[in-house]
Amino acid sequence: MTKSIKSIFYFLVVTVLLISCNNTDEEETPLGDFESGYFILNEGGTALSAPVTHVAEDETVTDNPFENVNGASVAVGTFLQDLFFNDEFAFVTSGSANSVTIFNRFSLEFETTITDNFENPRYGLVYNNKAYVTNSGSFMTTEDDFLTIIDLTDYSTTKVVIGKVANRIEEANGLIYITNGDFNGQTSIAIVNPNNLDNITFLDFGSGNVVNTFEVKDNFLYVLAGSAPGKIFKVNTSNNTIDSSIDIPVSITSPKNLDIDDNIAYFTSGTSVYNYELGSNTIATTPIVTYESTSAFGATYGFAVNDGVIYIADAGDFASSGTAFEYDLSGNLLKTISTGVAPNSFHFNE
Amino acid sequence: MNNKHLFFLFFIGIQSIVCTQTLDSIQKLNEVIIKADRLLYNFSSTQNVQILKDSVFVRSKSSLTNLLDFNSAIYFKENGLGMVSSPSFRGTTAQQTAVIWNGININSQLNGQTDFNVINTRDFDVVAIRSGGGSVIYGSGAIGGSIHLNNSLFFGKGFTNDAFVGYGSFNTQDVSLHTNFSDEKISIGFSVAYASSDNDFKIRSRDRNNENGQFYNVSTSTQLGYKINPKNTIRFYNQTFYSDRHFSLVLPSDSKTKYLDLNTRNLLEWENKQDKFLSVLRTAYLTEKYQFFENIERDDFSFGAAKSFIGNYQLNYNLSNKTLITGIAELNSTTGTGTNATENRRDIVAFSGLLRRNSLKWNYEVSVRKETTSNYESPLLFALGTKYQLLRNYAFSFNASKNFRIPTFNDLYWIGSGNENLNPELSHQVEFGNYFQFKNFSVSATGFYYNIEDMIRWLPNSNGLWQPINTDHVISYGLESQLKFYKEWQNHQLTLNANYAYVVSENEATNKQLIYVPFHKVSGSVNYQYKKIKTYLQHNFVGDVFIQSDNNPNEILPAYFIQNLGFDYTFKSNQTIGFTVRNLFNVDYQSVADRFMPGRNYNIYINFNF
Repeated sequence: MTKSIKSIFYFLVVTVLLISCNNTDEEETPLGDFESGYFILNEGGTALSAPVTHVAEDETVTDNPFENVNGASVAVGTFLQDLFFNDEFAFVTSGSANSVTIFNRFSLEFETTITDNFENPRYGLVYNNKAYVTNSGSFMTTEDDFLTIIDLTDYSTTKVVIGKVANRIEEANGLIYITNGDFNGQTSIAIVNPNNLDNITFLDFGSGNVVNTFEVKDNFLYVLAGSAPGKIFKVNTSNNTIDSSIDIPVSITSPKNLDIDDNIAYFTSGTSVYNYELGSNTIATTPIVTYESTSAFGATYGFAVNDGVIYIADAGDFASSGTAFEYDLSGNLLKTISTGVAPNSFHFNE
Repeated sequence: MNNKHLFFLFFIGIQSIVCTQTLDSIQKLNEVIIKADRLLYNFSSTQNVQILKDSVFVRSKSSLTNLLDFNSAIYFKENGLGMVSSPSFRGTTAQQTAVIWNGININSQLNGQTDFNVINTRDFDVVAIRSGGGSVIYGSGAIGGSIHLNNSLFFGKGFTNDAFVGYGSFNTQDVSLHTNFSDEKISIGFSVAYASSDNDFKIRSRDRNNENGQFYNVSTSTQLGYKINPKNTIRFYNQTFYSDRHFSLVLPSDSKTKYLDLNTRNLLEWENKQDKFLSVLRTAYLTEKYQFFENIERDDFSFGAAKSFIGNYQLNYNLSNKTLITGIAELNSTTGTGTNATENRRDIVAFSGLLRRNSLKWNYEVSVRKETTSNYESPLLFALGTKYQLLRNYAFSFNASKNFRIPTFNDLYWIGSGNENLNPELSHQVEFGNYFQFKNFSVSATGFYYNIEDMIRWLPNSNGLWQPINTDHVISYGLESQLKFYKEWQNHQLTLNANYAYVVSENEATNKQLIYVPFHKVSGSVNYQYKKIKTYLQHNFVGDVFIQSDNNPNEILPAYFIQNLGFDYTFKSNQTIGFTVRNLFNVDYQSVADRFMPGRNYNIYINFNF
């Protein structure tokens, strides 16, 4: 018996080694220095300083990879709001520079900067070889907020006015969903059909349910809204109706930062992270992670969960280097990373 | 003050370089021209006051930033040439330096500070820099020090005119005209000034030109004086200033913005002299308005506006030749409004009492001020100072004061964020000055220590809403030093001036140096004159500054050292033509990160007095 277990063990070891060897063989043609790991976006700093932080799988931290690769002449601007990918490229939006800068997502070699038809751009995604980027437009009105569509074949751009705040963006079932802003008290999301841009519809979640963040999972849209109590709505994207909702316990105030990883939804309140399994009826009041922060508003300024690791960015006083933390799902701190000023999001290159 | 010293000062005055303090002599020299800001000259004998005028103005660009940057130890954070510029005086914030126009505090009621690029120095005859606390006299913001913009009123000088025309690189235009008429009873002064620039200098590190940096400003000043009889005089001062500035882009794709300022200032005063009494009744009416266009392609803008009415009564009583007692009662009623605030009014009543005793060897001053307002709890402010001439060549001074910076309209009434429970920022400060005076040179060195509490900072509250609160505690200390040298032989004259400041300004909670406060700042000039030809070299050194509050050593703005070289030639005794090369060594530098400054540039000017 013992012998057979040993044999099985040896067999496994050999198999693993062989598989590893195979992997090594495949990695002989790496796609680029940044093909693994993740990027942390920073809003602050000067126009050129540390606009992103890269953390490789082997935990190597690179402070300013865009500049390291391309030199100082490629400036992405400040108030970096979003970084999104397609198969080939990484796209970075800058609120100050009114631009989307495009890099090779693996080597970070500069591709181009697009500046037409942007004003205070926010979030973006790529769908069907077109990039869709939300814009705040003038800060004095929300009626001019718009969507910029970049045709990735020739980088030409067009504009579609949304008519309400245009903020976070997701794609599901061939439709583009846009939150109408958590900073303006709006309780709806906009639905844009890429094949019929003239017909924008809105789905409202009712009084008090100011939309904070949303995520797509299996053709359902999960929308975190409201504060006392907060709610997570489940929207069926095949008919754009609210399928169900779950109340967040009232003791968890001002929930934000919804993310879904492996059928579990995560969100934050203050310096704590909460979760529940999709489909369950209740949300536990005990956090799975609580971390120490001296920053009131800068706590959990950026948040993500990916492959069972919780990523938290703390913006501190918004005038000094921020900090990012990696936690496991049991709340054990795995890693601490010094970032640029005001880190706001994590973007996984995988 | 003996005649030799007076003579020395007189020469410095003619050279018009930074004239040394020593208030008695300044008073004597400028008796006619410094009436409106009377308290500056009556109650600054234990602090350092630098006077700038005449050729120092002519040799500077028209902005107050440029004048002070090269002629004082005050550090300026300038968001690119001509853009928003804020001072740090002795390590304090922009709101802790008061700007005083003819004795009236003109810091914005909305944001509490003065943008030193929306003051054109051509409007004024004298700019004085008073180091240290002055809230007892000037109210809010006189913590690091105060900057005094003064107009002159002459009597009995007839008809005089002064015209200045300057032109320089980047289509920079700088024009002013002053005209004055006075007899024994009436004085009329009027001036108009215009400054503009395309400001499209080459940004060498980016291989492009500065974009959207163009600006112009136009201003008028009027001074009227009427001597009703030997005992009564009425004076009126007016200034109107309009500025249209575009804000330089960091990247060419940034939204193009612009900012308009309109300020009007009016001051009417009635002075009555009796035997030992001098009373001055003043009323002032100030307006300020800004408009910010976040995208110049659109017509929409945000704005803010404030109007202040000030009534002030001063009674001065000469107890003896040496002793002066002054009592002041003041009412300030300000109304503010704007895109971000509903209309609000603030009334402040203040009472001050001041005592000064001056003698040849020993001066001292004691003063207190108490304000009342419904908006916040106002502390009792005070100042105590003394100066003693210990040796023939050496004097020392000591000054201790409590000063404040009151919450602004933005702090109090910003829609959704204003905090009506704010208290003033409070500063307890001491300084110790040493003054050495020799035949050809003088040196002063003043050590200072500030404990500034309840500093107002905008922070997010528990609901994530940004609100101002009284939070930061800053300790600022350091050394200010001035050196002057003057030598004359045959047809030659040589003058040296230098100002140096060493400043540590730390957040008490973190022990980190505040951002954009250099440890070292030096300015100075070397002036050489041979007959009617003058040449001068101006210097400005600014040490490294941190740009992150954690003092991250990788995030600093490097030190820079800028020189200007100039020549001027005087002909027909009253006409001067001059030429200046600015940034002589073509230094590529920034005062604020990624806000570029021009390389070597040139300007020429001509100045007529007729």
